[in-house]
Amino acid sequence: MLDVSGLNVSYSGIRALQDVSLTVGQGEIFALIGPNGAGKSTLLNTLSGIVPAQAGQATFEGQNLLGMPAHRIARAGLIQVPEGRQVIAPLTVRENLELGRIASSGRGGSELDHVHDLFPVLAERRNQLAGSLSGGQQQMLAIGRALMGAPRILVLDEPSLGLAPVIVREVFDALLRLNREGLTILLIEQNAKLALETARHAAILEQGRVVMRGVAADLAHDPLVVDHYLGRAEDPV
Amino acid sequence: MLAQQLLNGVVVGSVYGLFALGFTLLFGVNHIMNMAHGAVFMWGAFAGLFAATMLDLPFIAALAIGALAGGLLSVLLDWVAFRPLRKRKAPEFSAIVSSIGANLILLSLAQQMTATRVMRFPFDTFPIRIYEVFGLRVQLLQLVIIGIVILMVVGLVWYLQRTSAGRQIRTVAYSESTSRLLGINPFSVNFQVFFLSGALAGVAGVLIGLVFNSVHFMMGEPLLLRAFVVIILGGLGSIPGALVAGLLIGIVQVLTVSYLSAGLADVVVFSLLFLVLLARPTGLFGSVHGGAARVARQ
Ligand SMILES: Nc1ncnc2c1ncn2[C@@H]1O[C@H](COP(=O)(O)OP(=O)(O)O)[C@@H](O)[C@H]1O
Ligand SMILES: [Mg+2]
Repeated sequence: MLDVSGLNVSYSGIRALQDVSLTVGQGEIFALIGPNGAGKSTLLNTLSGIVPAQAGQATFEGQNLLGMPAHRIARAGLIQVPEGRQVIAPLTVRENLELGRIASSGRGGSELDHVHDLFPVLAERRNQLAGSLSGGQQQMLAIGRALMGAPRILVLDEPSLGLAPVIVREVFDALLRLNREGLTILLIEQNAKLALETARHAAILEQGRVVMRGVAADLAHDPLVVDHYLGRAEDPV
Repeated sequence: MLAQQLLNGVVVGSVYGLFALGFTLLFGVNHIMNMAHGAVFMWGAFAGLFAATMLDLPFIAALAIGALAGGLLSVLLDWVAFRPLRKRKAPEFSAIVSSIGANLILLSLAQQMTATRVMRFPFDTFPIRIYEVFGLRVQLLQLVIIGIVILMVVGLVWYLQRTSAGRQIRTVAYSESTSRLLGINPFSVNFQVFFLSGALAGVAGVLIGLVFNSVHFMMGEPLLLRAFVVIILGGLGSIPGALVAGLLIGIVQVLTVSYLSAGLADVVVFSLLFLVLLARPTGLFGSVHGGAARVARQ
């Protein structure tokens, strides 16, 4: 459904992604993990049309993404939940959700009910300003807003960042439910354990290169991955 | 006498507010200081004048043509002077320079076309009718101007607050990159913002041309300077700030002209600016945040 191959991206001469390739299949959750500064956000922003690529290819349902304007990519159904949530603080919860509908360009239907069902707190606080929500509620709003655009693939940039574990669980349960309902998800995480538990396939990005890829469950048992990414979490206390 | 001058000040000041509103809108949403805003105002006034003289159209139609001309000219400015810079992600300062250039071109064109003459609206453009209210001499034109300004401000706020297009504009003002991730078309938002900004200037041009009964190629320049004072006083990007500060400047200017001397008007206006900035460095309605968030919040 989403095919990336040989992608090179630099910021004014400084290489951020080098020869990155990955494939996300229809209906799966694909996780991309890696340390801070590895280039994860750069990859998402390149796919979303915010950052230009120097070389390579990216196709989404047969459409070439590179060179397509960002708003057309969103309207084509590749919708990003950006790092740090980026809710529109001075607008209400309801207005933020209405904004999300723009990307649906006619695909949509009863998304609002679905979003309210998934995150009831967004219905309760519909008239509150988005900036007054807690971090977890803002993350739910950011995901809800993306869902209003009737995404064909939902791409999330570190949705667990800065959230309490119980809220992280709630958010990830929602993602699993969405996936069961048929939604394809590309998930970026620094929390490797959580990401590998959630995804079917995964890749590891380090310093702009994919250093490992495979079935998430296999990666979770790979000694190198355990050493570098899961070691602490698996240590007996 | 004082009350009479206050009324005159409110009328002129409300039109300054309209002019400054367009300037501050562009700054709040696109972070652009449009140094050609005064030229848009002037061309709006000329468009209204031509509509009234050559086409013999009534006041309201002349006003609409002034708005349309200002709006379209402003959009044209975006395409010629600003958009190429945005594409190359040039620093904000380049936009100031390129709009100064555009301003010069627009001024020279007007100067050539009018042979540097001061032009006037025909007498019958607006009926001269004067009412006595509590000893005040109130002209119908003054009432109509205040009414038009209120209508346009309410219309603008309604558009920004209540329509989907307005929400999109506020979203771009808040975060341009997030707006694109949401599928908002930046070209359409830019078009609307430049058009609205120019239309406000165009209407202000026709109204000022009528109030002072004079239209000439330099009429926008002092206004642009005062618009800087207005938006600095009011806080960059603030809509209520632009209106209140516009009124204030209009009143101060009219009072200075009638009680001190016409030559001192700008001296007093700019002294006022320095005084306010000493007390409140971010302006009357200012905060430490940039102007962008302000348009989004309103
Ligand atoms: N807008 C930018 N301009 C210049 N360099 C950037 C920019 N964004 C990210 N980088 C650099 O690119 C690299 C990858 O960053 P990023 O994609 O944000 O990593 P991650 O999301 O994995 O933490 C880092 O070295 C970062 O400093
Ligand atoms: Mg990142």
